[in-house]
Amino acid sequence: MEQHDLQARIEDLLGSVEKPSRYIGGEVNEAVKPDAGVRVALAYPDAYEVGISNQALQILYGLVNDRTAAAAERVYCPWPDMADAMRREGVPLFTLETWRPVRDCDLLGVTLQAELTYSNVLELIDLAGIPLHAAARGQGDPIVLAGGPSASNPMPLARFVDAFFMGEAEEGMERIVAILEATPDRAERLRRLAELPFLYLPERGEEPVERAIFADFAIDTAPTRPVVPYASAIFSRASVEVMRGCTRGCRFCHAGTWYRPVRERPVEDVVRAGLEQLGCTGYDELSLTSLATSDYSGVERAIREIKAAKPDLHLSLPSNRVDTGPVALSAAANSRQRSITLAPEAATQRMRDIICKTITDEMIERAIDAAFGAGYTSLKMYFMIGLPLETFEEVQGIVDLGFRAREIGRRHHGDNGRFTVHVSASNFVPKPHTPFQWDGMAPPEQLRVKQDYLRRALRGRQLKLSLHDVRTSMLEGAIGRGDAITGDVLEAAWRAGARFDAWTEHHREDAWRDAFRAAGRDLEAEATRERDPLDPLPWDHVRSGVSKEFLLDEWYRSRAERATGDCRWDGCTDCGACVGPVRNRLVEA
Amino acid sequence: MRERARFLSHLEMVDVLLAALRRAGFEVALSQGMRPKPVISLALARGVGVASEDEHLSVELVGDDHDPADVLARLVATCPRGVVPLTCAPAGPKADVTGATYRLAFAAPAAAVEAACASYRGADELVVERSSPKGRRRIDVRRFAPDPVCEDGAVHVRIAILEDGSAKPDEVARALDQRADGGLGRAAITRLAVHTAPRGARVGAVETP
Ligand code: SF4
Repeated sequence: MEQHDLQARIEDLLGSVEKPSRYIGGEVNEAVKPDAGVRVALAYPDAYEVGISNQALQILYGLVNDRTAAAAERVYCPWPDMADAMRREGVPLFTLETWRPVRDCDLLGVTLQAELTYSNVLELIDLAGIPLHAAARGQGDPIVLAGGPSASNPMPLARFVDAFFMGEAEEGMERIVAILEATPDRAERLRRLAELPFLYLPERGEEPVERAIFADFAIDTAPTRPVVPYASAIFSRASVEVMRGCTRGCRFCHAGTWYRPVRERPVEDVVRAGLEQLGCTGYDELSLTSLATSDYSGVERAIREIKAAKPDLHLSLPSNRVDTGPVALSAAANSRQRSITLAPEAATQRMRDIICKTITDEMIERAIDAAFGAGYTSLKMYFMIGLPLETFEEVQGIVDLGFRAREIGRRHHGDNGRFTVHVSASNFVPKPHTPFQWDGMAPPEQLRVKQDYLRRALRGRQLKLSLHDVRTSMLEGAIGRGDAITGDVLEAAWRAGARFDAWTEHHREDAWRDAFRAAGRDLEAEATRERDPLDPLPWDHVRSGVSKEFLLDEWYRSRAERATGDCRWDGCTDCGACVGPVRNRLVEA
Repeated sequence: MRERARFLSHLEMVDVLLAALRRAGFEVALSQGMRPKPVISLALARGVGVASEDEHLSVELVGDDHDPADVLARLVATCPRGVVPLTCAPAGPKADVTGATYRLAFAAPAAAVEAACASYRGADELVVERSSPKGRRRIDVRRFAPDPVCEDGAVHVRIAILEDGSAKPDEVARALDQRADGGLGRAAITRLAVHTAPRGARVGAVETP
């Protein structure tokens, strides 16, 4: 199909689909390099409004376009109405910038941020007209590369992906582009890619692969020109990543392993990047992001300096520790914000010791008190249910803490005061490379009983409860720790119509159940299955840097209900992540 | 609103312009009241997919020494692809939008388009169905757009906004399509001009030729 013919056909389709702005590109700060020799399509396997809000992909996009001669263009998963129309009209998957076919790119890079997007990865490959199985591809087909946190267990997607990027891609991406530029021969490109220690090529067998750690994160400047989404994006704000990694050691947390150690960006760099971004995007909100921004040692100075330059700015600090300090910080950062989020994760001391969340009842109460005292009128509290060793006491604890928060709220705002305590309880899903990787999920019927109890008990004025769909959590658990056979299941489910699994309106439980059954497995049994620490795990060949011994030791400590300190302040616990120049790097003592 | 930018919805367009103004260094004034909103509006909503050579944006900027030429130059530099500011002037007295002129380009041969136009003009009534979340309605588009003419192979038509409503350009295109023997197919629609008049100028009917 000629290029102008393709453009005309895309325009025809856009007249009849929902939200055509998802497909038009042309946003501010978009990079167009029509004459680049090497073209890389960077894809987020979900809708535009989700994908464009992803910071990691924005970083890679800027990096390829600014630092290499290659062009990076964007792709998001077409919504089912558009995908169906594309198939009907024979329009292949295209990039937003130039509306050229993805199939004509040198590389299709897909970020894996969540397991529930895996069916969309297959959807993207198929819509592009690229053979679904890596083994069936040849000269002329782009190399399909997958990265992002969920690549840490590559096995469910191993059959469909040519190479997996393990870890932080800032430095490695330039090396990959250099290989694409050096030779047009697909086999030769793959041979050279296989030499990179952070790439896993399934066709080469399960050879050890090492997670790449961007040691220069703290030195390199923060990117400042993100693409500004059209109005529908889930996040429309400037954001500067102030720190990478977190060593608090929560035992359920994948990021807590996968991004170790902690590297903080200098305050001057954060302030400069933030102000530059505000200028070139036109946003009126700036978010200082990280896994736990109140832990960033330069946070107070950064807030002070940004506020001095822009006194009226909405400055937000997502992901804060539960304590009075962070609450005061949030209030100082944004005096107009009326809502604050705390994430105790578990409501009893026993469970917090099990999951290694080193906060006390007293700290939580003080934080709630400080939040209402600072004038917040909406308090969100995040918890998990279905955690290992959970008893009914823990669920009751969530109810008690919800009521306790309301009581504190009433003390500040009055019995009939206009405020809300919003309790959110998600379902625990074990993740690879965490101390809880050997644990199973709670059975679905148990989760439902607990959810029902929460619904009945946490009722009343000023209280709100939100729960996660048990079906999607079970699916996430069943595929996240999967193996090559999970790949068969995935393919069968996608062929039966599964896509956009995280969207309740598109979730196809029947397709997944049948697919598991056809592979001789049961969805729930997979999700709830405990693993024997002596048995190999499908992702054993992926070296995160954090040793399996450390994870197992942490698992034992969880059974002894003992928390572990944070190595930033309590001394190194020898997890293995720090090697050579890679180590915890804080900007302020 | 050219090229792909025509696929932005009305609300997305307002958002895009607000961000462009902020990037250009302007602060948009906020309305009074419990929930202050930026004082900005686009005179006439445009259907998704309709290109436009004429949009009337009015916006209140903080500060009072703005040079229109400077505002225009800065806005040209900060608008995204396909959104092209053309002129800028201080706001005059309040006006009503009384209609807009559109160009409807069909893929069908010019003679067929010409014939459909003639047949349209000769009809007493041209009813098309409008479906919206509120339900289905029948609209006589000829009441609002009595006089489409053929110019260089495309139809130019002025659609009036009356006290009781208006027709959409794609509805006029559908009515033309219905008047053509083999049909005309879908039209590429471009708004050529927005027409305004001093406040209170809207009428109940347009004169038919
Ligand atoms: S090796 Fe030690 S200091 Fe480095 S992240 Fe692990 S526990 Fe912390």
